[in-house]
Amino acid sequence: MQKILRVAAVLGAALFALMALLTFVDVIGRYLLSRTLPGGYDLGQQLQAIVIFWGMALATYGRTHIGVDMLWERLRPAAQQRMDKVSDLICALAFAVLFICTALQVPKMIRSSEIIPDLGVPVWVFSVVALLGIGLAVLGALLAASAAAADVAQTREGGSP
Amino acid sequence: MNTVLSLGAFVAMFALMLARVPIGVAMGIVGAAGFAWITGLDAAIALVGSSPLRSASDPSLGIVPMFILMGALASTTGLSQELFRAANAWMGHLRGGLAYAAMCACAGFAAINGSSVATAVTMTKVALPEMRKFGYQPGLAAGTLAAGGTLGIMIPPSVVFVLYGIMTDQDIGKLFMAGVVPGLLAVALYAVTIHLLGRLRPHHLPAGKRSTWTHRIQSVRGLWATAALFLFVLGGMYFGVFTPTEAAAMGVFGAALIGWARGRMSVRILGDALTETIRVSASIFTIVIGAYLFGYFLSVAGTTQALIDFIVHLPLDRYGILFFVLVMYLILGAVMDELAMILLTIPVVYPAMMQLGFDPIWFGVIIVMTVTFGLICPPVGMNVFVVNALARDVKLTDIYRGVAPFILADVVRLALLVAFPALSLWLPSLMK
Repeated sequence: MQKILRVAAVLGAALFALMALLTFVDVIGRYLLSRTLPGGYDLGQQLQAIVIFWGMALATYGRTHIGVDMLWERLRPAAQQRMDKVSDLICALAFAVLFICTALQVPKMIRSSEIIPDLGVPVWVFSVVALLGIGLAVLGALLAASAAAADVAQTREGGSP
Repeated sequence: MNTVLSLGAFVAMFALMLARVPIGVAMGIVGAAGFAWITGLDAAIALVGSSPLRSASDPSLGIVPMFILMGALASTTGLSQELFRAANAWMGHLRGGLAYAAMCACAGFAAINGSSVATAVTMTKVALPEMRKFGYQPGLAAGTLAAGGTLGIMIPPSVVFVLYGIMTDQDIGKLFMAGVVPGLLAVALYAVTIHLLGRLRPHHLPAGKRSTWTHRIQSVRGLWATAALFLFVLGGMYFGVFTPTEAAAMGVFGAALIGWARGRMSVRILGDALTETIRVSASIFTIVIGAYLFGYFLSVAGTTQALIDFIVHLPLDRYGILFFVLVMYLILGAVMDELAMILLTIPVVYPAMMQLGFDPIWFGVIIVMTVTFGLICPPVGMNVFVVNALARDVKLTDIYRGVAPFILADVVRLALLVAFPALSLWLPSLMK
């Protein structure tokens, strides 16, 4: 599973680099060749959604989301781990709901036959790839929760996690 | 308005945040649940299924990851060290010289990166060891850097300005320009603070070594890259050559090019910067998505309109109302992240302020200025926390004590910006 998240990080980074490159080439083309990159703007938009949702999986697994640590900091390590476990499970549940609700929209997207003009690629393809990122976020949250649970058990046995 | 439901939603949201559920997720859960309660499950499923995807692919938000990447690349290319070295060469021999140098370097770094936390982290790594080596009082040295970090969101490019611009449909280029003079004013007021501290507690801020003129001139040579990158990105926007997102993408390539030219760029460094950027961007987008969902709920519950009416009809004149709003932000800033605060409150506060006749660009500057207090004020001063994380032997209370004089300087700056709107509006008024 961790390997899958590592692959998601590499692919996400590569897609983000492509997104930046598309914008760069678009600007250069506009000033040097008086023409823009066909479909570049729309493709960049779709890539952005993929990058963000895959990034969410990484942020969730790594617990690097922006949060409030005010109460957490004042707790003992065992209570901190318990709190982490609960918050990871809540995240998993929230991302699971997001996954299901977004997945329910996919048939509608397919029926709408929306495509990226100039490229002819259906938009739903990108949405499905982005959706995989939300699925990974669910798994990432569950993995983080199980790691927190293991820490709780270890602390209970007297070791340091 | 459904008062009980709205109040319950706010309580639930803060309770989830306190339980360390990420801010964006907490806002999203409560927003979606509240929306479902009012409009029914089908409408809520449709909203949750479409709104996050729409936000994640919003082209205007594409600027956020681009500027984060530009900052990440800039910090790996040694620009931060060069800024500090140069400022130190010119000012290090003065009493409090290293503090002046750190502040100027923070301003310079803020000009090529849009985050206050990133500025505080980077400059703490570069300047704090040096300041401590020369015998600076640790709390004051750390406090100086925590305050200097706040320049990251005032001096353009700034992620907070971007989000404010998107939410209020204001020109991001103009907002960036509006932040330049207030940012420079901050540097000047912080310098006055350091000067006064140097006079009051000379042993806390000793003078460093005097550099030779050759060394000073050599140190400036290394600054061309920072200046070029800043002028390229801001100039491009100012003269209408690039849109803000394009300017950010060009800045990314500029920063990568500088790194490559200096032999400090490799595939690994680039990969790490990209991965870190998507992680940070995803955290910000999670808040954006959550804030939108919560905003939809507040809207259908009638809370947004009720709060706008409440603010507009307060028995005060418009500056009294502005004062009330700013105090609310200061209170909220003590417990909330600055991005979440902006995203959550702007849909309510902005229409009210516009009804009262305030300028939207000026108000953006005032809001960004106000949220910076939250970054350095107790109990949750994010910049203080990150500086403390890098200097574990300096007590949190000592850093808060060290940052206190700079908070006073910020109060003066806020008063000046409110009293003289031209400080913010002059530069944008010259834009094409």
